[in-house]
Amino acid sequence: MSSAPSPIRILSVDDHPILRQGVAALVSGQADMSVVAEASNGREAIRQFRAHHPDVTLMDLQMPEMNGLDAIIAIRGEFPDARIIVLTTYAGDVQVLRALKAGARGYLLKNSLHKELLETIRSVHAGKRALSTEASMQLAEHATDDALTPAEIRVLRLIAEGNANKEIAVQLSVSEETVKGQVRNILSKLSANDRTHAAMIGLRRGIIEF
Amino acid sequence: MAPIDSGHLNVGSRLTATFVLLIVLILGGNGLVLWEFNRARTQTDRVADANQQMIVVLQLQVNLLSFHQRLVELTGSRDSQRLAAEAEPLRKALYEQTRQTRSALSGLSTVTRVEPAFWPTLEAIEISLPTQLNAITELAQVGDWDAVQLRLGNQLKPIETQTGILVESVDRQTRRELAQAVGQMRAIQSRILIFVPATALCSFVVAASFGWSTARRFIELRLEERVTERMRIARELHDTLLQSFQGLLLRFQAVSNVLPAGEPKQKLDDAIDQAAQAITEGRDAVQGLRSSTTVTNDLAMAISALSDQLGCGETNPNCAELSVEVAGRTRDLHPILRDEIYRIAGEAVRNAFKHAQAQLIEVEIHYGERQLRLRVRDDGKGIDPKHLKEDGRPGHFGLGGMRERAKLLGGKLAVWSELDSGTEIELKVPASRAYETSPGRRRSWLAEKLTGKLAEKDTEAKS
Repeated sequence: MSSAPSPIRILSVDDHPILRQGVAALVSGQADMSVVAEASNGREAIRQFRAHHPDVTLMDLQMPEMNGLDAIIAIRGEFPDARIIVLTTYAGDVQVLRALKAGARGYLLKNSLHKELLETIRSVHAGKRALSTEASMQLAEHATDDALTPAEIRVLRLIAEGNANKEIAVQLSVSEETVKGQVRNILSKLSANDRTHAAMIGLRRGIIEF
Repeated sequence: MAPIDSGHLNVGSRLTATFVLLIVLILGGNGLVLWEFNRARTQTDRVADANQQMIVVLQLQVNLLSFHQRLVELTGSRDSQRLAAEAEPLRKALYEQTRQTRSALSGLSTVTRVEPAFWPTLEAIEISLPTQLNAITELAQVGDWDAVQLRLGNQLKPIETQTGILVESVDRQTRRELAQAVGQMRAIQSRILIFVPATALCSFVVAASFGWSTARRFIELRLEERVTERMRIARELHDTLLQSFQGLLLRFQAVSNVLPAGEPKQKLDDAIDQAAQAITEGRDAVQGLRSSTTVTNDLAMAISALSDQLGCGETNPNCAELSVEVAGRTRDLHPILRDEIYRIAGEAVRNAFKHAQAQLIEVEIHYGERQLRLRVRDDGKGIDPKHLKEDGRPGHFGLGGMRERAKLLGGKLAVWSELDSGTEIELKVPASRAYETSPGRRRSWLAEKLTGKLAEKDTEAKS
């Protein structure tokens, strides 16, 4: 039925073999696409990309050795028109935003792959962008929020580890007053009631990692 | 030198501090008692010395008197031959006596002061008595007995008087020493009477607190272990089960995609949708497991946030209303325990939301001085009493898990419920377990300083 002369060539990157097998099984039933290469971490993904020049890359984020975000940045640095779709378990708006800023064209959650994967591959290959519903809802909810600065993210990470302002000031080699100011900004930007609430929001939205 | 693995030695700063205090008390208390005994011995030595001095001076006086007595007798007999014959043994006896006195005095311990008048008296006896004896013998030989009589009176009497004064002075000194010794001994006795029970009491108190800290630390370690274990399970579930299910789901979908449209395909698609939903629930539970260790210290806020987590925003009319009330002075919860307490509360609220079909859920947190009390009440359909007795219906309500958690953190969990009349659970945790106490924090600060110093020394030694 498809008018495309050659099938979409896919690189599947995930450190879990069963998930790669699942992707392969789903894709193999489609006439207009095929998995041409697989990789189990970011480093391998870069190597496979160079070897196969796939049309679409499916990229997991949490992987050993080199994570998906770094791999996306490396691949896009070398091949600016690479079309990459992120496949991950959790959706936090900031994590989604980071992936999109790194150059990902799509962001899918693994629990909705069976419904959305094939269509997303086709539309991303056609040059569109695609987000899963959950991810776009997360993005929309915080679209007008002020983003945290890198310094504020560092402070938030230390808050989540249970440090007091004084300890944070020592670890970042800044004055306690500076930290207090940053904490105030963080609370207001995240609409958090207190520091621990801020840490919870940070974890949920993927501003900081577990 | 092998580096010290602090992980294995880390029994907690509080415990280490108590143990050190116990050792210091036992050693210090016994040391003080020994020191007092030593002082007592010094006192008895001084008294013994004073008595010895007294005996020596009395012997000297007795000998001097008998010497004089003998001379008086000889003079009275007017027998110059006998006087001449006895003069030599008398002189020898006198010499022997002074020698003995000197050696006895030098044998006294250094702490004792020898009466200063002793030495001139002895010298007077040693030098003047032999001279007088010679003079008396010579006078007797020429028959001048009156002169002999005169000498006995004028020359020997003063020496006896001098000795008499010495005896009195030594006697005074001895009495003084004795009085002082009695006073000192009484003081030592009363000090020992205080030291011994005080040391015993302190040691007992510290030992009891040591035991208490050990038990407390034991519970903490078990909880820490539990938290670590939960993190490990969460990671494991995320890395294996969740990923595998997500992968397998794709393969089922692949099968469905090649099936012709019809009832079998429809049934398979329904099953896939349900499986996907189950996986999503599992995923969120795993996320809950992972994020729980960083949950806020503000219980009320964390519990209020539960309603969002359960998919009940303000816009959802089907959800029960959750109200959280706080009474008492809000206190920081013990970092390890807060997670467990939050999970019990979470489980209770989740039950009310999901299983009990409640309209209203009331949570009450009471930060009491003696205990932390948490109550979760709902107006839902309740739990069948026979399920209350068993540890909850399998797969439902998680009462068993809640009871286990409560027990682990040293608290008590009570559940009241009847069919169609709601459920109330109450958790009580003693203040000592629940709250982060400031003395504990101070002690651990001290311990940190100490271990920091030790670590510095360790690295210095290595470099």
